[in-house]
Amino acid sequence: MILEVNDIEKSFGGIKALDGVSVSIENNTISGLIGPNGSGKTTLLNTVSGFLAPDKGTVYFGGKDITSLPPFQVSRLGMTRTFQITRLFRGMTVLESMLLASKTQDDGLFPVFFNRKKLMETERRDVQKAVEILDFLEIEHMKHEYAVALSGGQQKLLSLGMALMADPRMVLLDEPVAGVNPTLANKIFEKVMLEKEKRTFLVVEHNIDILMNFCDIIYVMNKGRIVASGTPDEVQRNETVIDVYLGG
Amino acid sequence: MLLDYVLDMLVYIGIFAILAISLNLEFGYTRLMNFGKVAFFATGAYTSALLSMTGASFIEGMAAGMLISALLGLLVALPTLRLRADYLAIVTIAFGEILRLFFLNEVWFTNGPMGIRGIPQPLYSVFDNDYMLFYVLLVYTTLIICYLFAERIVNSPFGRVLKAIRDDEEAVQAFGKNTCMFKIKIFIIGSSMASVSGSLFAHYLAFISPDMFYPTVTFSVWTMMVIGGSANNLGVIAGAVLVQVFERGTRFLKDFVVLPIEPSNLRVILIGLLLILFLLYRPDGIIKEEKNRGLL
Amino acid sequence: MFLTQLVINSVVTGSIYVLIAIGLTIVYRVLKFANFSHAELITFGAYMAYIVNVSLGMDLFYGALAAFLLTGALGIATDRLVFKKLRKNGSNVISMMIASIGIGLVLRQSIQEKWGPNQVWYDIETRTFEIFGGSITEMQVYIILISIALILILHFMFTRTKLGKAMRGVSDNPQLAMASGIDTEKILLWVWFIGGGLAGIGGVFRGADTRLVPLLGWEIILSAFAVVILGGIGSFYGAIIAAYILGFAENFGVSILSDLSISTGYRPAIAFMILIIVLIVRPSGIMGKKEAA
Repeated sequence: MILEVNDIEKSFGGIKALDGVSVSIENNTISGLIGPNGSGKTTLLNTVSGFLAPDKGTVYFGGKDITSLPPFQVSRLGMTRTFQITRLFRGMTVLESMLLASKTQDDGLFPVFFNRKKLMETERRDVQKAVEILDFLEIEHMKHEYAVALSGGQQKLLSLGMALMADPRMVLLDEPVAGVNPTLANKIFEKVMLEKEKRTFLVVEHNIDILMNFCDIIYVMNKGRIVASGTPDEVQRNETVIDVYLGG
Repeated sequence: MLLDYVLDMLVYIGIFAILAISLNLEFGYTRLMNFGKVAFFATGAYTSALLSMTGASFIEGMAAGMLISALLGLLVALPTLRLRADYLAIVTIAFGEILRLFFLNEVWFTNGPMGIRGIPQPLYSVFDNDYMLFYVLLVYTTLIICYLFAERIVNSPFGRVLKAIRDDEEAVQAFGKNTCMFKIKIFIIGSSMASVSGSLFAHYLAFISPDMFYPTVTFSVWTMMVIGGSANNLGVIAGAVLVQVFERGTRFLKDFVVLPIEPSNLRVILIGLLLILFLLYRPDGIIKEEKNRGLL
Repeated sequence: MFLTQLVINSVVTGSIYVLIAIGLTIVYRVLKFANFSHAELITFGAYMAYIVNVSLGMDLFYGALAAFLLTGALGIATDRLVFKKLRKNGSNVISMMIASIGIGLVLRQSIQEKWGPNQVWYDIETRTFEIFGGSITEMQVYIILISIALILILHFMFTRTKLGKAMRGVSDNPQLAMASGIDTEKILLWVWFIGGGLAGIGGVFRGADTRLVPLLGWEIILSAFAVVILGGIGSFYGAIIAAYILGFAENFGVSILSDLSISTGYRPAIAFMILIIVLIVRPSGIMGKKEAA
């Protein structure tokens, strides 16, 4: 198990957004997380990645207790997340954004003045890696454009690219294909599939069909709880799931 | 006579350009709202002045000022930088005022409202008649060093993180960066740089008093940055030139023409208007931020 | 005598701060930015009352009334001329804060141009009463009573009237307020009018209690921000409690300073200390909602 979430609770002003959620995710799998709006999917992602501290429960990542660690520490341990509304840096180009995401960057003050040679070497390596990833995602030709000048779909690709650039053991994707045309959406998931042997994915997505095609395990949330989980086939046949989606 | 005016203006432009670059590092690149720039300017001026009165050299005074400003910067940064942006604005503005009160009230230490007179000027005996010219050179050498230093920082991986923090701090944290540390570091650098400019100021005038360090100094530096173009170090230097030519120019003019408005009032009113008009109609300033094509 | 006098002075200071801070906090709550030009709205109000009271020779009561109306109008004018345009440009709250500094500079120096840098006084009688060994002027009694009356009126407005509820709606969720048919821009006008008007009256109080100078508002704006943050940004009741806390802290603090033979010129530092302590211990203030930084 790379990620173990045990009995997490989180309330906002008396409303329980997470009401005892437990999830266990195995290495090198793609897990999907579905559920109606307001069922707690993004809250779960925020809690796991350190952006929110849970009221109760624990989160273990790679056997290490990461409950309530600040986001940057969670990220350093090898878990990177993307955001639902793509949050790209306005003043930065595609390539710059990719470089920022790298964990090997020499981003201290000391090397700026005293170890320029090593800094340039790392930079060269990072640029090469960034270009490879951009190439893999087929947006290499845009590398000197401002990130915000990209089309919606390209922006989604870039945020996936930035997550990959961090070379994490686990990636949390928050709606990676929302608002993206079906062809491109499939392409994005195909890229994720290709990365599966290197890392583990947890994907929140409204597009259930696409999750059914690509995921190993699907978790279904409703009203702050996991109401069902299993392989896509099992979940599709599950009565509760049909209730959640059809009964509201 | 006219040459003296020009040289004097050049010195002021240089001193304020350094301040503008220091603010640009904090706000232009990192979005830290330092409304107390004058505090660190004053710290440099007073430290340098007081030390040199006891026989320390210009360089020693400047170095001590930088160190004290860095410590004060850290002190201000620690409780506020992890909080919302507007808290920093309020705290720094307050800090500047409290520091001015300190210089005003601690007469035993700073000579209070009478100020410090006869601050020794570096290498005065050597240059004597050409001293103004020498000082212009001194100021501009310092400015060039500060400019290159700032450019080096912003065009590095460190600077890249600053710009990303400016655009979306949370998203930067998601990539494993301790954003608070970056903000504290650049705030300390900005404070030290402002202190350098304060030292140059004190030794140039050979006299300082608390009423030179009103918050209007801070806001005039803000105007330089906004109209010059924040996140562009050449732009903010251009802004410093414009505002200073205008500020010194009205002082110069008042000796020759009668203005319908008290010149000191007119200056501040126009600085305020420039600030507002640029925010409204040209928020990128005269020179826009450049697209970064990377280090290689 | 001392304790009674300190308590009286504290209540007076608190009464001066309270309206200013309420004005500042409601603009802060709805517009989401720290309006530094609030300082000059305070000063402007004080001088408007000066025109009515000294230039026109009328009672200061009418001066205060004029200060409320005219400063409220000035608040609206700053919004129409600057902040509304910035909102339309899609500028963020940071630009608005910087712009508010610009407005402050223009206003303050224009006031100085018109009335000069030297202090002036209202034309008011100063009858003094003795109570429990302390003394209080008639003016100070008015300051305390009018503040309380206005707080009650505002409380009624925020809780009972459609306008007050709409203001809260707009600040809590502008999209929802708009969707439910509230004319957001119209509500903003009222926010500026009331916020500015309260600053104006606060300025008259301060001017009557001390004297008028172009820096009148600037001298107390830090205390006002300390009150707003101590009370919790946007909290009406928090601002009321915090204003009186600060009134007591400053007056007792100054008395302690002079006991320690430290210059009482450090009075503004007391507000600063409180500000820093609040930011370290409880940045959301006493009545503020806890939120992520």
